[in-house]
Amino acid sequence: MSATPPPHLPRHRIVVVGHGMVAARFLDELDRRVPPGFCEVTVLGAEPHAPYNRLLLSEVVAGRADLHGLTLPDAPRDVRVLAGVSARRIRRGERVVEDDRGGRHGYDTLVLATGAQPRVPSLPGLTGPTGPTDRADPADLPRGVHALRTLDDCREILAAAGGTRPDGSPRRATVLGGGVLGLEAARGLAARGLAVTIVHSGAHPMDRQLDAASGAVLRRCLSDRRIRIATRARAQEVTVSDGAVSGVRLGGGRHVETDLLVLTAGVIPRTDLAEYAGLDVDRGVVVGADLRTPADPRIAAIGDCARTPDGWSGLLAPGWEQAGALARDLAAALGGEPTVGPGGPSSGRRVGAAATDVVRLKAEGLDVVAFGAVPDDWGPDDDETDAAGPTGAGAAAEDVGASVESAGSGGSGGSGASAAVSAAPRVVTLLDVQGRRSLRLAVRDGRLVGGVLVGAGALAADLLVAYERGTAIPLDPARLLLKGGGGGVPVATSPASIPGSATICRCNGVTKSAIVTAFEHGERTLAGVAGRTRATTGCGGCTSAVEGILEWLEAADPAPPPGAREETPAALTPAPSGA
Amino acid sequence: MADTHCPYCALQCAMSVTPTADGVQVAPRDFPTNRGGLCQKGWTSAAVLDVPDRLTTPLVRGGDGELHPVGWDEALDVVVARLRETWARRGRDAVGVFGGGGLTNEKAYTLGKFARVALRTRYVDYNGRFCMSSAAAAGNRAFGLDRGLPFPLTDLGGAQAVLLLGSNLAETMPPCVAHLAGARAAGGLVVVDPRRTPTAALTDDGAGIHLQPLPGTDLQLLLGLTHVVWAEGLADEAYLAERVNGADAVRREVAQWWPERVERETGVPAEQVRAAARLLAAAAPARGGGGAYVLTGRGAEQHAHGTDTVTAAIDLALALGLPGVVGSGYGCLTGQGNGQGGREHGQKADQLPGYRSIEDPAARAHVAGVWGVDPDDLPGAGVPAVAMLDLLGRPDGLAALFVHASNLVVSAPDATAVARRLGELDLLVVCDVVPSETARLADVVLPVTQWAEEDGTMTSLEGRVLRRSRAVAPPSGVRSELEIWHDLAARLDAPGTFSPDPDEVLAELAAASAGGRADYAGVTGERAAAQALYWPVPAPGHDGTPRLFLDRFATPDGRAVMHPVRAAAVADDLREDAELYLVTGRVLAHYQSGAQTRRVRELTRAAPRGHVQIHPLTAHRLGIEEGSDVRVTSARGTSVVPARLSDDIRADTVFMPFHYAGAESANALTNPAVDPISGMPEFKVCAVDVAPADAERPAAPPPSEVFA
Ligand SMILES: Cc1cc2nc3c(=O)[nH]c(=O)nc-3n(C[C@H](O)[C@H](O)[C@H](O)COP(=O)(O)OP(=O)(O)OC[C@H]3O[C@@H](n4cnc5c(N)ncnc54)[C@H](O)[C@@H]3O)c2cc1C
Ligand code: SF4
Repeated sequence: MSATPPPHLPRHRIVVVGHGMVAARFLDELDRRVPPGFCEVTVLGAEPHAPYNRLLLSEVVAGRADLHGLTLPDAPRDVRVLAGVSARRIRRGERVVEDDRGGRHGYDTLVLATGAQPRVPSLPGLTGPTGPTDRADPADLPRGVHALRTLDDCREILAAAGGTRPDGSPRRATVLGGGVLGLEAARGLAARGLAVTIVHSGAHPMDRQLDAASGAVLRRCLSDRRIRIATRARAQEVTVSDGAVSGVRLGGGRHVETDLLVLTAGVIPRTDLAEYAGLDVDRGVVVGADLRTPADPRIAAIGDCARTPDGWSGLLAPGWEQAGALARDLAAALGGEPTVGPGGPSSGRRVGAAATDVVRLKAEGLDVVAFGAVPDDWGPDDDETDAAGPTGAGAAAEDVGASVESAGSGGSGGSGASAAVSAAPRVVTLLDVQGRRSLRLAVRDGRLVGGVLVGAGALAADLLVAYERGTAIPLDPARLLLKGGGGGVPVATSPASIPGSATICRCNGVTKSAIVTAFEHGERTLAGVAGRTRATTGCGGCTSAVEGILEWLEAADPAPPPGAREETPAALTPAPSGA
Repeated sequence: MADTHCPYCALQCAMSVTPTADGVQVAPRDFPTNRGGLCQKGWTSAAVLDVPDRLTTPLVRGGDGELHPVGWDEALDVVVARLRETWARRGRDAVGVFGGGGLTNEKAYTLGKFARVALRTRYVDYNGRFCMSSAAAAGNRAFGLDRGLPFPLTDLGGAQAVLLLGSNLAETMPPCVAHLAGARAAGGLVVVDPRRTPTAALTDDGAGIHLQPLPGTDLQLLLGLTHVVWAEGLADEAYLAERVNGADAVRREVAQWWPERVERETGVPAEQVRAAARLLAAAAPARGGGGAYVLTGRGAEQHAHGTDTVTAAIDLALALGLPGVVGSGYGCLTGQGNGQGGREHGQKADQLPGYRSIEDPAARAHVAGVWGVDPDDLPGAGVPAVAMLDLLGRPDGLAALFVHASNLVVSAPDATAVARRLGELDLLVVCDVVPSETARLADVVLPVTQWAEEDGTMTSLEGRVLRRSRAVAPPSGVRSELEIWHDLAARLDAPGTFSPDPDEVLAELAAASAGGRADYAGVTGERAAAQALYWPVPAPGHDGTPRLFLDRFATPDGRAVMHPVRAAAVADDLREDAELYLVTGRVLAHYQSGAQTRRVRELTRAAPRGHVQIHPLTAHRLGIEEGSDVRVTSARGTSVVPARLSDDIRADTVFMPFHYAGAESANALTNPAVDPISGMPEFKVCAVDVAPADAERPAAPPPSEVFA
C-alpha cells in the first residue's frame, strides 16, 4: 500500500459501536495496517471512561489490582472517540447510526462491538434488564444487589463490601452463580473479609468446565478458603427489606441471609441494535466466517455480541482474534497489504491453532484451568453420549454463557468439542483429593486436545503451551501429569558416592579424580588444591564441594602428606600454557 | 612479565603474562571484577599464542585457486591493485569493511577512519551488530546514552535482587558469579532462561527464582512483570514524576498483560510472574529495599524485536525507580572483549568516534577537523551488518570486503548463505591470527598480532578503560592492523595520518571523541593502567565517571524516556515440519566462533564437538539416544551433531552451541531476520526439525547424481 491515500477516492468511513476490549483491539489492529488518511473512524462508547481491562475487575475486587491501572492505551490518534455516547438506531438504508445525543454518523462499514450484559434472573425481588443499557438499571435493583461487568459495578461493589455489620461481625455476601465469574467474585470478596456464600444451580462449582471429581476437589478448595457453596440450589426469591437486599430464598425453603448480592448468573449478548435493524440474531448477532452479517455485508460484529460459525464463547481471546481478522480484512479491502508481519500482538501461536477456548480462573488459591474438550467417559467403546456432555473449556467456554446456551449442546464449543465426538481421544487422569489435585487430560495423535486441571500449579503453564502451540507430547501421555515429566536422573551428592569422572569445578573442568590426585600429591588445603588444579578459581561455586571432598579424604586418610609443602595461593601459581 | 587482561570476553579478567622457558605462563591478578579468578578459557589463553597453525606470513590466492605465502610488500600491492580496479569499475561504495568487538579501541577507531578516509566507503559495520546493537539502541532511546553497565560491576554485590534476562554468565564469564552473592543470600536472584543453565541453577535452594519461558517471549514476560508492578501499586511514582517521561503510555500498554495472559504466551506460570515482580519491587529503594538491578544479555536481545525487549526491561527498571540511583539500575552484560569500546569509536555504519552520529553536521565537522579532511568528503551512513552481508557479491552491492577480528562464516546468521556470498566477491581480505574458516575463503590473508603481543586499550562491560600490555614479542612476519592500515593508506595516497603506534592513536581518539557521548578526552594508556577510569573522561585531569545518570539522564531534558512496546511473534515460528524451537548460545570452554578456543587442546578436550541439548522425553519420542548423531534442520540449513539429553531444557526446545563450523554449525540454521531498529539478527530462536541422523530424510528428493 502506498503511503499516501489516493486523493480522488473518498475516505472509507468506519463506525464502531462499543468501546470495550474488543473494539479497542480492533482499532489498534486497524491502525497498524492502514496508513493514515485511508479511512475515517468514529467510535461510540456508552461507558463514560477510556477503554479499560474488564477482565481485571475481579482482580480489583480481590484487591490484587488497582482500579486506575486498568486503563488501556488511548485509541489511535486520528480515531474520533465519543465516550459516554450510545448508539440508538441503525438506519441501514441511509447507512447512518444515530446516537442518543441526536448525532448521526454515516458509515461505509459498521462494526458492532457492543459486548454483553449481565443476565439478571427473573426472580421475585429482582427486575430484569430494562433495555439496551450496559447493565440492569441500578434503579431497578434493590440496594445491595450488583452485577460485575463494568467499572462502575466494581466501584459499587467495593463501596458495599467495606465495613462490618452493626454487631461487629463480618458482612455477608452472596454470589448468585458458581461459574468462573462467580468464583472469582467470591474469592475476591472473601479476601476482603466478607463471609461469602455461593448459590449455584449445578451439581458442583464450574460444572460447565469440570467433571464431578474435579468439581469435588474444587469444592474442597473453596471450603479451605471458608467460602460456602450451596449446589443444586435454585434461587426462588430475593428478599428485600427497606429497599435493601436481605437474603436469597432457595428451593427447599432455606433462606441465605446477606448484606450484598452479586449477580454472576451469566451474560447476554447485546444485540438490540442489530435486532431493530432487522438483522439475524440468535444469542448473538449472527455473522459469517467473514464476521459480516449475511443480510448486510457492510455490517460486522465482533466480540461478545457476535455469534460466528464457531459459536459464542463470552471469552476475550476469540474476540481479539476476530478484531485482528476483521482489521486485516478491511485493510486488504482498502487496497493494501498488512503493514505488519504475521505476528499480531498475540499470534505467537501456531498458524491455524489459535486456541480460543481456554478458561483460566484468576483467583488466589483456586487453581483451575480448562481447555479444549475432555470426554467424561473413558474410551471409544462407550458409545452412549453422556448427558452432561464433555467437560473442558470447549464444552461451553464461559459458564455464564451456558446459562444462555442449552447445556451440553456443543453448539458454543470450540473445535475440540465437536472433534471429540468424531474420534474419542485417550484420557489420562490424576486424582489426589487430599493434595487438592485433579488433572484430566485428553490426547489424540500425539497432541493435547483438552484438559481439566484443578491444582495443577506450575504444570498448567506447560500444558497450556503444549495445547495452544500444538507441540508434540511424550509417547506416554501420563508423563504430562507431573512437572518435568517425572523423568530426571538421581544425583549423587555425598563426596564418597560421586563418581571419579564427575566434574566438580565446571569452570575449569576439574573432576573429582583430579582433586583426589591433588590430595594424594599432598595438597590438604583449598588453596593448595586450587593452585594445582584451578578448581574454585572460576565462579567459586564449587568451593564447598571441594572442601567436602577434602574432608572426606582427610577422614579416610588422616596421615600427614608425604613431603607436605607450604600453602600456595591460587593466584600466584602460574599455569603452564595448555598446548 | 606484563600485567594485562584476558583476550576473550567483556569481563576482561586481569592477568599477568610471563614468558618462561616452558612457554608463556598466565596467572590471574586480583582485580575488582574477577577477584583473582579466571575461567578455563582465561587460564589456557596463552596456548593461542603459539598454536601450530599460527599465521606468520601473508597469503595470496594464486591462479591455481590455492593460498600461497608471499612477502608483505607483494600482498599489500595485490590488495591495492585490486582495490583500484574495483574502484575504477564500480566506485568507492563497492568496498566494505567488517570489524569486530575484539579489536582494541585504537584499532576500532582506526578501522572506521580507514574506511571513511582511505577507502571513502560508507559500508563499514562490525560483528557487534550480532551482540550489542539492540541493547545499545534501547539504551540510547531511554537514557540518551549507551554504556553497558552504567555503574561498576562490584555495585551488584550490594543488591537485594537481580533480574538476569538471557545471560548465562556462570558459563560465559564465571568469575562474575561472585557479584551475585548478595542477591542470592537475600533470595533475590531471578534468572530468565528457557534452559536451566548453570546460571539458572544459581537460584536453587531459596536463592531466587528461575523463570523458564518459551524462547522469544522475554518481551511478553517483561510486560507482565511491569503489569504486576503497577497493578499492585508497587511502582515508584515519585521517581517517575521527577525523572521519567512517558510512564502513562507504558502503564496503559501493560494493562493488557495480566499474569494469566502472560502465562499463556510465555509458559511461565502466572504465580511465578507475580512472585518475581514482588521480589524485585521489595528490593527497590522506594520500598525500603536494599537495591535491585535489571540486567539483559544476548538471550533477550538477539531477536527480531530485541530493541523492544530491552526497552521493556528498561521500562520495568524505570517503573521500579532503579536507573540513576546508587545501588540499583539497569545494565546490559556486554559479551565480546571490547564489545563496549568497539561500538563507540566508529566501526558502526552510522557512527563517528565518541558515539557521534555520522549524520550530524557538527559531529562530521569536529571529526573531520581531527582527521584533517574536508567534512564533505566523509561518506554518509552505511547499513547494519546483516544488510551489508546481504550486499556481498550483488551486481549493485559490494565487490570487495575487508574482514577484521571476525569469523563470519561461523558467527553470522544463515552462515551457509554468507559463505556463498563471500565466494562471489572480487576481493576478500581477511586479517587474522589463525586460518579461520573465513580466512580460508580469502583472496588475501594478512597475519596479525594478538592480545599479549600488543599494547592498547579495551573498554570492559562496565565502561572502564583497561590497559592491554605487550608481554611477548609477536612471531616474526606478523604485523599489527595499525601497521597494515598505515601502509595501505600510504599506498592509496590517503589524506591524514594513520599512525602505527597505539599510544599516538589513543591520543588522536581522545581528541576525536572529545565532547561526544563516549568522551575519552582524558584517557591515556598510563592512566588506564594506574586508575579505574570509567568513561566519560571529558578532560585530562578528570577522574572518570563510575556511575552515570545520578543527577540527570543524558537526554535533552535530563529525564529518562519510557516507550510502550508491543509484543511480537517469533519470526520463524513452529510449523508442522519444524516442531521444536532452537536456541543457541555458548559453552564454558569456547568463545564465539571458536577460531581461538577450538585450537586450545585443553578446551577442545572439554568440549570437542558441537552438540544438541534435548529433553529426554522429546528424545524418547523422536527415537534419539544419548550421544547419537542427530540431524537438525531449519528452513535455511542442516546440521548434524551428537545429542546430549538433559531435563534442563524445555521439552519444546533444543539448544546448540554456536562455536562450531561445518556440519556442526548452529548458524547454518539460524534466522537472519533482523530487528527493525538495531539490525540485530534473530539468533536466539527459530523453528527446527530434529531427527536421528540415520533416519530417512522425509522430504528429500532423490539426489540427481543417481540419474545423471
Ligand atoms: C470480571 C470479569 C472477568 C472476566 N474474566 C475473563 C477471563 O479471565 N478470560 C476471558 O477470556 N474473559 C473474561 N471475561 C469476559 C471478557 O471480559 C469479555 O469477553 C470481553 O470483555 C468482551 O469484550 P467486548 O469488547 O466484546 O465487550 P465488552 O467488554 O462488554 O464491551 C462492550 C462495550 O460496548 C458498550 N456498548 C454497548 N452497547 C452500546 C451502544 N449501543 N452504543 C455504544 N456503546 C455500547 C458497552 O458499554 C461496553 O463498554 C471476564 C469478564 C468479567 C466481567
Ligand atoms: S573468558 Fe572472560 S571470564 Fe574467562 S577469564 Fe577471560 S575474561 Fe575472564
